[in-house]
Amino acid sequence: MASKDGMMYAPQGKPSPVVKPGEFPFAAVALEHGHIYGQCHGLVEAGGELRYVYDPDPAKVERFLGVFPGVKVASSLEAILDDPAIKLIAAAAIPSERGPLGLRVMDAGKDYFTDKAPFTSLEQLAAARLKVQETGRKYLVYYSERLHVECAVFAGDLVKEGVIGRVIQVLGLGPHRLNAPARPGWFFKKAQYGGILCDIGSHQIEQFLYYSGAQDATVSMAAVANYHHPAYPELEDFGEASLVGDNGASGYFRVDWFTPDGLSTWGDGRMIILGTAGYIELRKYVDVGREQTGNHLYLVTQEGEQHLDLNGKVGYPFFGELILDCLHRSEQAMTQEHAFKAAELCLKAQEQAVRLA
Amino acid sequence: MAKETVGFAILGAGMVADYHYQAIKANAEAGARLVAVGHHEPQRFEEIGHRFGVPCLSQDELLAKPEVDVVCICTPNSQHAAQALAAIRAGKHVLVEKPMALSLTEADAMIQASQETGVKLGVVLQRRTEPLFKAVYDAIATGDLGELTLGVITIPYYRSQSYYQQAAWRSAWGSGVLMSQGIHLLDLLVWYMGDPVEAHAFGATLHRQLGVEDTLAASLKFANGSLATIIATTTAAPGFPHRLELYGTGGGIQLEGEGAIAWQLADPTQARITPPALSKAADAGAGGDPRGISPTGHINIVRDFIAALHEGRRPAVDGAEGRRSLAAVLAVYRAAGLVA
Repeated sequence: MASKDGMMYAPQGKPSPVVKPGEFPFAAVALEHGHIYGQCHGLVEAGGELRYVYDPDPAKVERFLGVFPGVKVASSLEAILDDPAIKLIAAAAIPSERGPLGLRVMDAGKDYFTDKAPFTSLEQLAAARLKVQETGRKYLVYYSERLHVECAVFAGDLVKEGVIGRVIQVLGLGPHRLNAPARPGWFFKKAQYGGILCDIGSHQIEQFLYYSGAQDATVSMAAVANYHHPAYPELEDFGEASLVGDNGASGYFRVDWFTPDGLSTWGDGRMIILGTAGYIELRKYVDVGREQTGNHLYLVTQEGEQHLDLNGKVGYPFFGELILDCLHRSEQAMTQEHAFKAAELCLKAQEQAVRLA
Repeated sequence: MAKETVGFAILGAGMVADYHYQAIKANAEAGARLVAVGHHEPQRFEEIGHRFGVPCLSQDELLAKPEVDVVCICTPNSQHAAQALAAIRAGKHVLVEKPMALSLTEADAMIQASQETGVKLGVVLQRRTEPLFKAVYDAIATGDLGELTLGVITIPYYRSQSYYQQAAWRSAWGSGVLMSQGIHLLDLLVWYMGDPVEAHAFGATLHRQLGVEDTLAASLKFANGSLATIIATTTAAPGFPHRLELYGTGGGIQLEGEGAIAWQLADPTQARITPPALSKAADAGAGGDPRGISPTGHINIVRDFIAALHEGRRPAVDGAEGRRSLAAVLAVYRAAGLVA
């Protein structure tokens, strides 16, 4: 929520837990990517009770327990699937395994909350669509670069309130630091990670749909490359795509693994949202050369210019909305179709991408 | 200067960092907020940042952040002093894990630097903040035990070879059983009986391929003539609860694990401090598994540190107090020929 004081906009304050302890027990499985921590932090802060953890690797479990002590270690995935009290399973599996895991979770009568990207093939997406219809369960996706970034959340509020008019273009930059020695083996196998547009491109496409209000889009251009990493032939270190929304809005994004070591964070992720009445720029993780903090929002409207430092001021309403959606079978946090559509478009972009290098 | 929010940073991301993380979270209502974690390996920044939900930075970047008020030092023992000094000189309050340093020269430098800059220096000897151990102190102070004559520390712990192999610093100098595992009880002993004036000791490496002692036996004498013995090992499979026994002319207390198994006065009707409920069998606690330590102590000591900042007072265990157990450990090591 934004309040207007003259021409200055300001967030209204952070959300509180939406449920009492014990009302929303959930579990964490498949700790393959560090995002599982963000998924669990978000749900716990919104009042969810993290009851079980399971991963076949005991070292990952032990590390997890250091941050979430008191969580019970389940003996197997089946033990969690069979527990009727567990309402949702959060997971960050190897990307090519996320779809199949989600089917099992939904078959067990639970909602599924996976790290992005949610699928590595259109066939997996189709199977999930069927399973959602069949079971009535949710297949939710942690599109963290919007949902867990305060300036991106607030940008959404400004856009929804019409502050910049009708959105006509969403321009996204998603640079990342490769940090190859720290990556697991699956990171460099295309069949497992899905390609750069499917992987980190998924954040960008989800944001294009969200900020532009488009329900669907066509991919008008897509390209990938391995410009500089011959040691990892299956890695795509560069990707870009242009989309046209079904409402005419334009989207362009570039994602890459070229962030140099000198940057004070893992990636200088930015977004510029152009509207008919103004524009918003987000500097999500750093204001390079000036501030080592992220969450900087720049707003320019007919009335003037404004810079907002949104650290600690907005919170993450998505997680509370997600919990309530699971309890009430509503779709406030994110519609199922939106979660799937973003996945579908990044898979299509990946499929049709030309190879630049 | 009192402030609503107290920004914490944790330097180090090993096992004890998790305890500090829990303690900071548990003190959110007192204003504690984790702002960043620091580590020396840039390739691990992303993974550590995900884990703690805050940016992971280099030490220099962390010390340059204005939102960081307090730095919790959770790195290997040999790094504590240099990092504490860097933090103090950067104007940050410091809460350093035991041992605060590996030499008295370093400890004195830390104390002096904190006095010169006006920042607070606390040492995580958290047992002093726990109700049972505070009650023992009060019972001694009020005279319930009369004049103390004898203290006994027994530390029959077990740490596997893999514990030492997991992290090289655990078998480097300054990480032997007395400095690492035993210093908590030795701190309680000096708190209760005073600083030792003489020590005799044997140290040995009996079971492990290590550069430090895994077994130690020592005798101490205090200024008033009272005596104490210390026996400690990390070879006692599967691990047994530690004991601290105090005997005086008016009574005695036997602590085992985290509880009291005996608390008897010659004249119970004269007790000024109510003895706690006694425990029967003690849980081995950290005796068998370093993760057996409860986070309560860390929660208490962080709470005390925040209160010290707000009230402008010394933390419960400040640099001068933290130095006392270090001095006792080094006196025992010197007596055992383990250090010059």
